Amino acid sequence: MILPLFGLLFAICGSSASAEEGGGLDIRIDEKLIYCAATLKERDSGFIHALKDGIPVTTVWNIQVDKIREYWMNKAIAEITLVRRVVPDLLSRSWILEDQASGISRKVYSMDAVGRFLTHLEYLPVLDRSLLAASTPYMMRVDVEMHTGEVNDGWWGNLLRPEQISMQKEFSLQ
Amino acid sequence: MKRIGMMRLLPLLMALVLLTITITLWPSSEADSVLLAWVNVGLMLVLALLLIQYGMKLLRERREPPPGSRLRAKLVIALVTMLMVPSMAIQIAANQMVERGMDVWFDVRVDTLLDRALNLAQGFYERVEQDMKRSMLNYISDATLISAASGHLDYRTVSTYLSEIMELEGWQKAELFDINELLVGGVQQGELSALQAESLSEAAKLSMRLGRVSTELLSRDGGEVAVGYAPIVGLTSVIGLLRVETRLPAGVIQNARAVESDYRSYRQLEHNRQNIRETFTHVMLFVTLLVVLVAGLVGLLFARRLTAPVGDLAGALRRVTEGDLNVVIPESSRDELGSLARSFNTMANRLKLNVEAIEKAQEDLTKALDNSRQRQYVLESLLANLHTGVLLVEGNGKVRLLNQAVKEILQLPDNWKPSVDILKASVGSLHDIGEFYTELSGQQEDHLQREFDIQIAEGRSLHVLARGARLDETGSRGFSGYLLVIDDISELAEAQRNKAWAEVARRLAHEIKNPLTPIKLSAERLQRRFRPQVDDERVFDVCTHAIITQVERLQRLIADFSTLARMPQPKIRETAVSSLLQEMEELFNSYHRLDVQPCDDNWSCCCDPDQVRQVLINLMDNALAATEGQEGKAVRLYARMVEQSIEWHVEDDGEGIDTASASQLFEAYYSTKVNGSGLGLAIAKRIAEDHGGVLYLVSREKPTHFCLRLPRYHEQMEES
Repeated sequence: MILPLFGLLFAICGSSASAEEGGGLDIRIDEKLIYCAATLKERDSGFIHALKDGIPVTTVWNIQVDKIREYWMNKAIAEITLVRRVVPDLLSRSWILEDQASGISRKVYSMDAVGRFLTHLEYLPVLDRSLLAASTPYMMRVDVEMHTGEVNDGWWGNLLRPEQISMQKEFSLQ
Repeated sequence: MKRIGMMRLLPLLMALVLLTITITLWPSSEADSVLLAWVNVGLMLVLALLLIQYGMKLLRERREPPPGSRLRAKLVIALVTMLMVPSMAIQIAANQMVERGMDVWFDVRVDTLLDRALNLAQGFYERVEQDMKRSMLNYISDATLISAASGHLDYRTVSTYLSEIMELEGWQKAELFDINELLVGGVQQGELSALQAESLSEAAKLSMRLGRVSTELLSRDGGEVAVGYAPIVGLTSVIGLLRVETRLPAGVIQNARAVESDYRSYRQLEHNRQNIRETFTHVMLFVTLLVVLVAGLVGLLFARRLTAPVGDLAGALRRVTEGDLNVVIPESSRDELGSLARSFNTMANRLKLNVEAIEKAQEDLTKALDNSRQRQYVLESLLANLHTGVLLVEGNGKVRLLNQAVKEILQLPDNWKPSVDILKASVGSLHDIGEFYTELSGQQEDHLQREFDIQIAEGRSLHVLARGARLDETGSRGFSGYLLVIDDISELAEAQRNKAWAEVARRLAHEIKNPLTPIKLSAERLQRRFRPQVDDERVFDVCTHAIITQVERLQRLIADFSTLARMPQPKIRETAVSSLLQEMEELFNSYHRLDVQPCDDNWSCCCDPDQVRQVLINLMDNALAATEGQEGKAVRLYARMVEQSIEWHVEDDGEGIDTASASQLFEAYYSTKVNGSGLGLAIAKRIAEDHGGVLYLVSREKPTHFCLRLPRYHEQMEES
């Protein structure tokens, strides 16, 4: 009798943790590289209020390229994690935009720039074209987490991850 | 009963309440304390499941609960309830306190205060920037700077000029760039931090491009500086850029940043206000659940430890109740329960010894009873199968025991039962029995033997031999009374009588037979020789004829006597019944009043046909003699097959036989005829008995009916 109840519990837990589609994804392929352009829908403006109150906001972009396999799990080809952080400077009414992958930061005075920095990924080069085979279907998946406040770097941080926004798109080299 | 039922349902009710609370507190995925919430949900579900399991166990054990389970359940439920109530009270109180605390912490006054502090800090920065912008506006069209940016002045002159205006405006650093962003001149207070000038920032380039004065704040060398950009506008366009810096006062900046930091922390807390409340609630709930769970387990262990001896005792008592006395309960503890266990073990041991003693006594008694019953059974069987009648009479005259044989011999009425008074019951024809008992009980000798006749039903009389013995009491278990043994010796007496008569007949025949022949011959000789010589021939003839006739009669009589005395053994063979009937018909065909009815030709009988024929002739002679002078079929002879016997029936319509003659009909030398020897029916009866059959009178008159019944088969005859 106990086991079915636990099963029900885990079923409920699993359903509540399911991902949702919350943005647009575009893939561009040139002669050498595969680019990814992603945009989060601004359905939640909570981070703007947080920024105006001086609370840092971080978006973690996790981009993964998989080879699609019909009868087995997809094979991972490449995975990139991009962390973008905005730290408000309340005294100068500006925002410092930090790209933690490259270490570049800049100060902006416009909220639009901040929003764009956090919610837009403009044709980021993801992987070399030579790594992919022609006429093979691939899947690009982008998972975005938006942290309000400091990012928890502790071991338990993975247990307390915020809701993920996922986007995915299939592509292949012609 | 209702209380017990509610007690059993209490865990299930508690589980229901817990599940309801679980559903109410089901965590949303957006909450920060979702992990703790899930932990709490898990704990509550575990608790609920444990309660359900425990409740189901109690319900299952409703009919036959294990010993001590009820007490254990009560203790556990009481302990958990006692813990849950204060825990829940503390939980509610703590939640209220947090709620109030949050209201106090995030009070609007604090909010306003922090806003104002931040505004103040921001105002300082704005003021610095505005002052910088205002002062820099004066140098946009400064002729010296224009000519310097145009390259008309040397570096020293430009630096001297910049030093003057820097000192005038109170800046810490001033640099001039031409349109190509090359440093035309620059000065600064203190030592140079670098040999090369910093390249222009995006803000500086923007200011030069837009031709607009702008400022920005930068952190540098452990402090903050305000950097201003002023485009140098020539006649038609921007030809250079003046960049100046002023260090902000460290104390003010420190305070301003502290205000900003506090404001940020406060806002972050405010943003997480709901999460903080939920986290606190969940932490408290977690602690409460943990306490309840641990308390429940501890309570269960404690209750189990406390109730185990009681359960053992109850179980042992149940086993004792069911008859199992080989029960010993552990005497581990030294407290009252241990003392109770010791007392119980002692009691059970004593009980066991007593029961063993009782069982042994019972076994001995059972054996004795069995022996007694066996003896009684043997005695009863012996008495039941005994053909001799036995009467056991107590000293006071009460019949103690009587067997079936005595009932059948004496044809005792129904009131003759054990405990009947023998003297009162010996009435009528049984009068002699009472007299015999009286004589036996009254005499000095221990034994008495008497023979007497007893009249029984249908005018029959029995000749019985009664023997009596006095039984003296021997030992404690003896019996004092009289034993009466009754034997029917009628047949024995008759046989003795027949034997005696046969002996008489044999001797008479021997003595009489020898002189009869010379008497007869002499009489015939007298008749032949002296008849002519006598005067009166008629008288002479009558006399001699009488002598001869009587002698012949005596000879026949003697022949009958001889027959009775020396009756030959029957020569048994299978004989057809119809042939005997046919012989009779042929023998007596001259008698028209005789009707012989034929029978089935297949009927047969194992008998001596000569002897049976003799019996039938005797019966037919009697019947014909009785019906002499009658018309019609006054005599009837017919046969019947009844079960395993063949019956010959002879009926006649004569005058019949009177009652007195009927009882003596089959006795030897009894005859109603003038010339009869009285041996015919006696011989016929003896023949019937020698064949294992019977000859009896069916009816005395109208019609006078005799029946000869013989067994069909030889084995039956032998058995008879």
